[in-house]
Amino acid sequence: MSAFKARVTRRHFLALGGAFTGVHLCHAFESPIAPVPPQPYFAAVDRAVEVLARLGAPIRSEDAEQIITLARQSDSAAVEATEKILDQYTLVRIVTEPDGFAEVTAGGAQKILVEQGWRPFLVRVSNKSGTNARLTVESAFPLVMSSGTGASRAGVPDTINMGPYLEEAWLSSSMYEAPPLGPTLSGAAVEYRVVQLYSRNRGEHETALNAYTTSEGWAAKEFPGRGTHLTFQCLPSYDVVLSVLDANGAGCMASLIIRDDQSRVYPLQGMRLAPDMFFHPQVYRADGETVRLPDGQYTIESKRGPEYLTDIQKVTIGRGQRHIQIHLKRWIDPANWGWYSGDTHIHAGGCLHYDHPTEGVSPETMIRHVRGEGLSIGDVLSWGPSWYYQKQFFNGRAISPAASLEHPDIQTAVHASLQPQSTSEDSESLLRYDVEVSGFPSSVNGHLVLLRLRDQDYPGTKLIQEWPSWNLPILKWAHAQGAVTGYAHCGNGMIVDATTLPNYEIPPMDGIGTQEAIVDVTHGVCDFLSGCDTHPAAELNAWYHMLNCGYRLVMVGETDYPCITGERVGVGRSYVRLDRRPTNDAGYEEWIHGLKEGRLYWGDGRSHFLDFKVNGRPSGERDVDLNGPGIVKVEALIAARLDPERDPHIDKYLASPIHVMSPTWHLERARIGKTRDVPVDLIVNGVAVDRATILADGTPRPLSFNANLTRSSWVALRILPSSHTQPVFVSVARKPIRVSKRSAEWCRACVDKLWEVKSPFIRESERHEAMEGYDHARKMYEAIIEQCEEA
Amino acid sequence: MYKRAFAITLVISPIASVCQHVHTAPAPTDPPILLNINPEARVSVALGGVLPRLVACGQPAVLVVRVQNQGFVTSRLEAELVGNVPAEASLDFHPEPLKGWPEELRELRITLLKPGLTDLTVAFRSQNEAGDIGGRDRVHFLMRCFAP
Repeated sequence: MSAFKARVTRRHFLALGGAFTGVHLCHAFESPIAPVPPQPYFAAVDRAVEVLARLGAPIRSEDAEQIITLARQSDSAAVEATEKILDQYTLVRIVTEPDGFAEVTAGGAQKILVEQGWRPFLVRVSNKSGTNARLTVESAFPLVMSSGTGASRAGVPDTINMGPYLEEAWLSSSMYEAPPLGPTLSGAAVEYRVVQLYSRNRGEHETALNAYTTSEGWAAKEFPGRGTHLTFQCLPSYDVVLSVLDANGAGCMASLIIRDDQSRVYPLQGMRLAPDMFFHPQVYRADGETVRLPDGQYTIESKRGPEYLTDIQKVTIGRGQRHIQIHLKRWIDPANWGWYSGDTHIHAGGCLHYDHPTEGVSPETMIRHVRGEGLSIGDVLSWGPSWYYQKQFFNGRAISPAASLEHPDIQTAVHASLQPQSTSEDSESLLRYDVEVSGFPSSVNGHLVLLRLRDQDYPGTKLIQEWPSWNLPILKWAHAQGAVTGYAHCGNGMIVDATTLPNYEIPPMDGIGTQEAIVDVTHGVCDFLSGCDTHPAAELNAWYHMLNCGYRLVMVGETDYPCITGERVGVGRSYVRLDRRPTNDAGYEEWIHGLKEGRLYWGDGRSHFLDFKVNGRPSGERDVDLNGPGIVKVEALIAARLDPERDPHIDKYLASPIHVMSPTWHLERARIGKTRDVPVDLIVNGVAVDRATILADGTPRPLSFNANLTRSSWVALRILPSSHTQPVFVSVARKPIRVSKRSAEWCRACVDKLWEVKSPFIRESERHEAMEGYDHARKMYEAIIEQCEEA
Repeated sequence: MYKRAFAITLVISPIASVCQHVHTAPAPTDPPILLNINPEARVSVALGGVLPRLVACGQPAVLVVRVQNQGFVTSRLEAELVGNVPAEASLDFHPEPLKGWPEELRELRITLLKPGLTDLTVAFRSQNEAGDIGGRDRVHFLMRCFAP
C-alpha cells in the first residue's frame, strides 16, 4: 500500500467525487472557442507570446503579426481566430476547478521533443472558477535537478535506491513563472501559460501529464488530477563539433547564436546551465567544443566583439554531417596599433545571473565571456547582492582560468556533454576580481569601482553594513593600497533637461553615478569616471567641467553586465596603449597603469582612435608645452564601421529615449542621415570647436585639425555617441588649466547640492568628517573660481 | 472554545500532513503591490496583498504600493499602464521624488469606466534610470468595475 493510500480520508473522496463531477460538467459546457472578453484575453496572449520569444522559441513571425492585427480588431471573431493560431503551439488544454483538480486534454502542438534538450509549449487554461492559484503541469516522473539547499552540488537522487525511478524518469517539466507571466493565474476566463519539457531520451515515449492548482492555504498536489497521456517523438540529438578559428587561423572562443528553421534558439535559453546564460541568446564556444543539436537546418551567427564582422551561415546537420566550421573575420584589430581592450565593470553574480545553486557564476564561466568577446581584460566586480559568495574568487591578481566547467557534477547529472577545450589564444584574456561598492552603506553617494585592490575588506569590517556611509574614506583606503579608483555608470543622477555640452544646469544628484566624485576629485583620490552605459551628455558634462578645473581624471568605458545590460560583456570598453599584449598579472599591471595615466580611448568598439596626437604628443604622456598662446596641430588616424545601410532592427532598438534603452553609446546614433558618414568633433576645453566627417567603412582614415589655444587647455576628439579620446593637455606659459569660471562655479554649486541630497544618509558618527571633506572641496573650487581669467 | 479548536485540529491534521501547506493568506492590510529598488536602482515589483478587484466604474481604486528602497534612490518614482491598455482605464500616480528611506508607501489610483473584466499591466521606473531588463518592473492583474 502506498503512503498516499494510507492517508486517504473521507474528505479526499468527497473532493475527488466533486472534482470528477465538476470537471465533467464543465467539460460538457466547455466549447473549444468559448466566448471570451477580448481585452483581458489579448493582454494575456501578448504575455505568453512574449515569453516564448524570450525563451528562444518564438511563434512564427507571420502568426505573431496576425495576432497583433487581431488584437487591434479585438472582438469575438478575433479571439476565435487567435485561438486557432495558438492551438498549433499548445501542448495541452486545461480546465481548472475550485478544488484544485484540473482536466487535461491534448492541444494541437506537434508532440516533438529533443533528446537532452528543452522545448517550450503553450498551455491553454480555461479558468472557469477565476482562481488566482499557481498552476502546475508535470509529468508522472519529474526528474530532480537540484538539491534545493543552495549548496553547490547536483541534486542527484541516490541511484541505488532510486535506480528504477531514474530509469523511467525520461521527462522533466517546468512551468515558466517569471515575468511577465508571474507565478499564478490571472483569474481570467482563458489565458495561456508556458510549460517547458526536457527529454533525457530519444525515440518514442509516452507519459502522463497531470495538472493541478495550488491556492492559498492548501495545495491539492496529492490528489490525482485528470491528466492525459501523450506520446512524444523525441528527436535524437548529437554532439556537433565546432571548429572556431580566429582571423589569423588560430583556434579561439567566439559568440554563437544558433537558431533552427523556426527561429528557436539552441541550447534553449529557458533552461540553460552554466556556462551558458539564459538571459541572452548567444553561447560561447571554443575551437573543438560541441553543441548538442538534433538533425535539421540551422542558422549560425558568429562574432567575437565589435571588432569582428558578424557572420551568418546556414548549415545542415544530419547524415553524418556533425561539424560546423566557423572562421571569424575582423574589420579592425586595434592591437596592431598597440591598443588592448578591457571592460572594467562586469559581474559574475547579481542582477540577471541566476542565484541557484550558487550566487552567480565562477571565473571558469566568466572567462568564456571575456574570451568570446575578444577582450584582453575583464574586471569582475563583486558587489552587494552576491558579496559573501563572490568575494571568494578575489586573490589580488589577474588570472586566466583554464578551460573547465564550474560544476561538472551538475553537468553530469543532466547528461550534458560539453567538454571545455583550451585554445592557443586563451592566455590573451585575463580576469581581475575586484570590488564595486554597490549595495553598501555609502552607495547613495555613487557607486565606486575599486580596481587593483590588494585587500577587498575595509579595515575592521566583516559585514557590508559596517563599511563607511560616504565614499571618501573608502577611496583613501583603496588608494593607500595602490588601487585605481573611480565611479561607475557616471551619468546616473546627473541628467538635466539640457543635452548640450557643456551645460551649466545643476543635476538632481538623485542617483548613483558621478555624485560624490565632484568632492573626492579635490582630495586626489578619484582616478576615473566610467561611461558608455548611461546618457552621454550626463556622463560627459561633469567630466568636462572637472577637466576645465584642472582635475585630470580619465573616463573609461564599461558595461555593468548583466545589470545595465545583459546583452554581453564589452558593450562599453576601454582601449589602453601598451608596448605588448597583456597576458599575465604583470600585463594587467601595465594595462591598469596605462588606464590611470590616460593612455586610452573608450567607446562601443565600433569606432577607434588608432592614433591621436597634439603637436606629436599622445594622451597620457607629458603635457605639450607652449611658451605662449598659439596654434597646435591635432593629428589622428580614425576607423569606424557602419553597415552601408541602416539595419531596420537597429532603428527600432535605437528609437527609444537614449537614457532608457541600452546601448546608449552606439555608432548608429552618429550616422549622418542615410549616408555612411559619421562626425568627428575636435573638443577644446569641453567645447566642440571644429568638425570633420569620415566615411565609416572600416578603413583607417587620417584626419588633422588646427586649434588656436590662448591659455592652458585640454584637447580631445570624439565621435558622439560612439567613442572618445582622453585629452592631451597643453600647458601655455606653464600655467595650470583654469579655463572656465563657469565650470568651477558649476562644480562648487554641485558640492552644495550633493550635501543637501546626500548628507541625510551619512551616519551621525561620520558626519563631522564628511562636512570637513565637503568644505575642502568648496574651498578648492572657490580658489579655482578666483584663478580663472574668463567666464 | 479551546477544546473545539483542538478537536478541529485533530480532525484536519491528517489532511494537513497530506496536503502541502503553501502559505497563509495575506492580512488585509498587506499592500497589494510590493516594489523593490535594488542597489543598482533597478525597480522590481510583485503582487502582495489583496487587490481591489471589484470597484465602481468611474471611481478610483486605491492600491497601496510599498516601496523598499535598497538603493537610497531619491529620484522620481513613475508608474504607467503598458501593454494592451484599454481606452476606458486610467492610472494616477503622483511621481513625487523618493526620499531615499528604506521603506515608503505610495498610492496608485486606477479608474475603470467600462463595466466588465479588465487586464491591466502597470510598469514602474525611477526617473532617468534604465528599465529592468528582466521585465520585473511590471505587474499585471485583473480588475472589474460595476455601474454605480
